[in-house]
Amino acid sequence: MDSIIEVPRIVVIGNTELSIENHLGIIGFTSESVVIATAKGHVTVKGKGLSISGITKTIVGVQGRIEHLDLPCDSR
Amino acid sequence: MTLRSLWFRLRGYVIIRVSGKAVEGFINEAYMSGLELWDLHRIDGRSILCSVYLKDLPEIGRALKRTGCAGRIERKIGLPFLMMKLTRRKGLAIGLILFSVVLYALSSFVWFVDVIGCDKVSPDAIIEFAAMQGVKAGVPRRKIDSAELSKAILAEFTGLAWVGVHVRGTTVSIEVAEKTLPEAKPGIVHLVAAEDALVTNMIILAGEPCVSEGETVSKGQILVAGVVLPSYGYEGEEADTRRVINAKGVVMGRVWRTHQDVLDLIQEFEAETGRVERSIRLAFGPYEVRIGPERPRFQSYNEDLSVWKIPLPGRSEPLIFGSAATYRETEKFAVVLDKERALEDLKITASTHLKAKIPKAAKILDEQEKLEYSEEGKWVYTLTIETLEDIAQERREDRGVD
Repeated sequence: MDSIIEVPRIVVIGNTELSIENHLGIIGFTSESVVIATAKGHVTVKGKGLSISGITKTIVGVQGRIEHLDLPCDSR
Repeated sequence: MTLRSLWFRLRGYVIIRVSGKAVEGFINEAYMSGLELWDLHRIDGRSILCSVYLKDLPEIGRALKRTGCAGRIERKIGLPFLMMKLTRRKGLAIGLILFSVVLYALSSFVWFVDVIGCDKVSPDAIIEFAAMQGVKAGVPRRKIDSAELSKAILAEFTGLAWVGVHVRGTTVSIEVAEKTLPEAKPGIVHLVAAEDALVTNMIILAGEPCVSEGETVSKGQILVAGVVLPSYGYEGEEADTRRVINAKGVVMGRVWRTHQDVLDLIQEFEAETGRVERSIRLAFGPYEVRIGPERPRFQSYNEDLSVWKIPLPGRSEPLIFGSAATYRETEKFAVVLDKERALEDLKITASTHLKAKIPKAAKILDEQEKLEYSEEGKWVYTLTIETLEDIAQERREDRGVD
């Protein structure tokens, strides 16, 4: 694994799939938005028909029509 | 079905509905305790659907309790549930197993025996013989020795040239190839004279000679007779063609062939003189109109007649009948041919006519020609060719062999 501990690794495939390694849990989950906590702040995914394709300790995946992605701009 | 979902089904999973104020809390609680959740869908403001492994259900229960959410199993999917169902329905499981066992057991026996390629030999006889050798319906497949059976069949049926035995599934197919034997012809063969001849030389390979050298024979006369051996009187033995000696040999003889023709030096023929008469006839019902004479005034003539009709529908006689005749006068003329040239032509015809009758292998010994005066202007020409040839001809007789 090439990601440094605590720094999230976010992979987006097209506009239908997204996965985040090193997440810190789900903050909010509806079919329009999924908010995932990471060490750098909250990642917000917005779209339509969103679902969580899977979640384990290391990785969380989101599926659906992704229209908007908010990355944390926390410059610590 | 992807490999992933096959894996899920193999291990068994449930789709649960989780309801509560903060289902996100439950998700976090669950994954934090090392569980795997997938296919999470939001249904409404209070509840989600998610899939978890069957073995994780107790841990899910604890997570629900800790987060104050309510859970309900919506669907159970996978092999463990199927197994549970089967153990509950023992009859079905036993039936399934029994079916496979019986199918396997039955497929290890021979069910059919087929014979392919029989034409003269009866396939039923081969099947019967195979059954005697232990190859029949109901015999275990592993007890069949294909090589042994094909050898036995080959030894038993003399009319077969090759036998192949294949076991395909529950069918034993016996493939045979029959011998093609030359047909034994009935009767007895004699040598007879092909022509009237004088026998000069005889070489007899088989049979009884009926004439001797120096004898004259006529066409069709038996030269060498076939021999019927006396029956040895074995009881029940049927008379067959094997106890007959067919005549065989060469009989050389001198053959005279003659051709006779009349040489007529005075040749008569008819020729047209060039005088012509024409007549036209037109008939309309009972009325008739004629232009020209009814008969020509010539003694001998050639006639050209052309007829045309306009038919009346439904009647046999035509409405209008017309004919036009042309008569051309002829006269007889006579020509005296040149004797030398006419004789030359006659000789060539006679020679080709005669030589066509002589067999190719014959040796021409002598050629004689004769010209005799018969009556006025007519001569008789005779050509005789003497040859030496094999006059023996095979003739088969259907005489009883006894």
